[in-house]
Amino acid sequence: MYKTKVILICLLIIIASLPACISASAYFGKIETRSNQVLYYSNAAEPRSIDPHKTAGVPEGNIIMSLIDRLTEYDPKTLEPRPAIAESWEPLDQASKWVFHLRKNAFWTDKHPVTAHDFVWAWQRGIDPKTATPYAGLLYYVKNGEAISQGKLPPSALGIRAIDDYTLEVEMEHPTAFFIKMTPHYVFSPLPSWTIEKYGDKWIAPENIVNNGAFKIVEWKPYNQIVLVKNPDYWDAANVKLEKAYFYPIDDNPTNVNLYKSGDIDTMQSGSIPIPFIKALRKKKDYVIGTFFTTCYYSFNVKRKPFDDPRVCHALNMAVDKAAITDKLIGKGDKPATSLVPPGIPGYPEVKGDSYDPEGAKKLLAEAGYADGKGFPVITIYFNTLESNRQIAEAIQRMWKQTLNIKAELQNEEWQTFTARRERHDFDVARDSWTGDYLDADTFLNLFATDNPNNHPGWVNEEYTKMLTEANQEPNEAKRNEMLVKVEKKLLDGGAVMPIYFYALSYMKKPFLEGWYANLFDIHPLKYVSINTNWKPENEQAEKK
Amino acid sequence: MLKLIIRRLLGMIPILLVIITITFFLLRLAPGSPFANEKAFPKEVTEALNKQYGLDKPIHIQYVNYIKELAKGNLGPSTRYVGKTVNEMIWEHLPTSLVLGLTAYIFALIVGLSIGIISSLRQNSKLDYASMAVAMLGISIPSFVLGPMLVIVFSLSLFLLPPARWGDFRHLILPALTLSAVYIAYIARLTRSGMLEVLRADYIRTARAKGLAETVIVLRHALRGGIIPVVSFTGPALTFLLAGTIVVERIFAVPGLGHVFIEAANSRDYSVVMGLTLFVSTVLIVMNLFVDITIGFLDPRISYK
Repeated sequence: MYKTKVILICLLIIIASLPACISASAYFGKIETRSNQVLYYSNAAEPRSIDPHKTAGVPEGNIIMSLIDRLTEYDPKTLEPRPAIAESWEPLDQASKWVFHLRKNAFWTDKHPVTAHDFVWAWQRGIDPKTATPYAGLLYYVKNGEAISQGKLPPSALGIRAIDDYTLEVEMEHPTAFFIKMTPHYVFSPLPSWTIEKYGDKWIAPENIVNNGAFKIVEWKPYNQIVLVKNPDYWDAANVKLEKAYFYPIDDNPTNVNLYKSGDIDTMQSGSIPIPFIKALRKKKDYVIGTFFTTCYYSFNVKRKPFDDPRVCHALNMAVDKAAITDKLIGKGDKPATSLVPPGIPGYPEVKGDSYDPEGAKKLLAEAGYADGKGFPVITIYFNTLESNRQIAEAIQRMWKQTLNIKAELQNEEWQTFTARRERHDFDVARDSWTGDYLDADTFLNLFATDNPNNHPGWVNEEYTKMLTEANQEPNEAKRNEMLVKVEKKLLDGGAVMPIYFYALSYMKKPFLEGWYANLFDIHPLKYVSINTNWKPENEQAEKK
Repeated sequence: MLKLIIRRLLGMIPILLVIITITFFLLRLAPGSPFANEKAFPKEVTEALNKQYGLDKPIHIQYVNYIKELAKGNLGPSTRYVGKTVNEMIWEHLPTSLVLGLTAYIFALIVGLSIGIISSLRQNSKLDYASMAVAMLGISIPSFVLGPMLVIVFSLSLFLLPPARWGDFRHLILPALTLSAVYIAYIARLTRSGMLEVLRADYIRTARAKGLAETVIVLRHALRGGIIPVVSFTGPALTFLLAGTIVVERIFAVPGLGHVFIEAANSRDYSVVMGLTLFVSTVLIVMNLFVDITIGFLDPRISYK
């Protein structure tokens, strides 16, 4: 509470002085020509660890992916998998097995070759309950993954084996046509067993680490900076332009904007700009906007009355004007949502769910036995303490009152208290959001496939689970997407989630930074990033004339 | 004197034990878990993590284990930062906090004492009123207002100093200035009132009667007694500057103990919160002891025999 107040007051002061700060120039703040290939990046938070099996965070992922090359890597624009350690691959038996052919010119920084055995060892470590990998869930797609994680089988039973030093075979739990899209994720990294066995948890210290990626870590000062330099022994070093990268763990959003304005950072993570600043900054040429892979929604607790009646959920959903929330209230370019899966997955359309229909909502609520809100209990909307969450909750509270004549109370809670409440299903309505882990609708839809800790509404439907499992086994991409659309429709029909909006990608980027594309994951593989040392503010002026 | 020190140090143990116990149980009362995440981990992973850190055991056993480890000087592992111990984290971040806190305090002492002395010598003059008005302003403007204001002027308009981060001397100026404002104000007011009291004392009148020069009277005789309130204030002030600078550390992205503290509290990193509470309490008690000893030297009327 205190922290929020402090941040709010800081914001107010800065907002008050914004007109003076944001000048009429086409760009925001100080921009000078950069003469070297050095990047200064605000990475939002201090990494908990840079061991791929010890973290689930985005700031950590940004560093891990620069240090460790996986089977495949993200295309910087489309995010589709590109060959990395694996030169080629093929699915076998309707994608129940995958075979990867590894390159022979990839080496660890201690000159050991990168082989299939490094993957086998690493994935077995990742699924071992002793390691307690936060992202172990992604390894459950590999055969026996879940059983090993639950301690029912030894890690050696994992469906991965080295056919020879440079051929890797992965056997899946069920046929998984989209497995290849998951392989750029850092939880699927190979690891240097000899270094980890020698140093234990300290293997990630800059003085101990052995890695195989485009960059090496040379300095790690907690809460201050992490410095990466180009790895000259990297298999694709000839194509890596950037020489050095500074990662700053700046968690305070106004501070991020200040550092950008003074020219101390070149860019930042999406979401690092305080919302009240965005209106003014959107006019600048160095403001980047795009679509992000996150959906904001409200979870209805279907284990509680009256939300166990889908008609009630649908009525509540139809009474909310989402476009008014995104455009008039928040105004940072988010897209109103009627479905759960954000747009942008190749071949997967945006599914149409309940649209804004006040009359329909009234009718539906009356059908459920609450005509004009009579007899409807007072419900509570829970959210984590954040000004924009409150604004949205207030708007929805008002809409429900006006359209359906029902009373909702608002309750904000500190983040930890709130997530604990959500996980134990102790709420009527709770704010929720989900960011996908791989470029496939499954990363959203499987939330509701089982009674897992992220299934906050507690909505479980056997037919839904069956439909999703079937879709995931379909090797034909187009046919599979059609099946997934039906799965999503089934979920939306259930009414347990009320999609509100798809997040907009929103950050600032200096004009001389190249190879840094606005993509769905806000992931920017450093090997494609470079500094245009020829960029000069004068050239821009000339261009304008 | 030695007896006093030993007695006070021994007295620390029960005080610290009470602090540890209250903090330990209060922390566990707060909802949440060190392994809470926006995307919840699979159940078996959370269970495995709890087991790894001994959090699966009944709370009284956890408490006994904690005290046992503490007796060995081990503050435990951080649950947020894998492979880091709390001892390591304190040593990593303490120097930053020390540099920032001491710079702010020394600056506050120089400015505050000067303002206080001048005010007391020119009591009820325009200069006195002006200085006290500035001091009042210093107390009233909180650091989260002053900090961003300084950033706007020096970093974002004049581009003279970096707006945040830590590294060289230039990074130190704005946060130290922000932190010192309140202390300048306090010290100035404490010095002024202390000096006014002493300047009216008989021994000063005697000094004057002896015909001593005014500078000698002020600096050698009056100041010694006049700054006793400031010295008493130094103990808690320095401790606060060491770990209570959360707001300033956040605004300026300073990697100090305050920053670690708030992150630990937010992410329920139990051992880090415990370790830092214990550390700060110890520093506070030791500082107060140190202050008492110093006052004994400054004021001949006080004796610890």
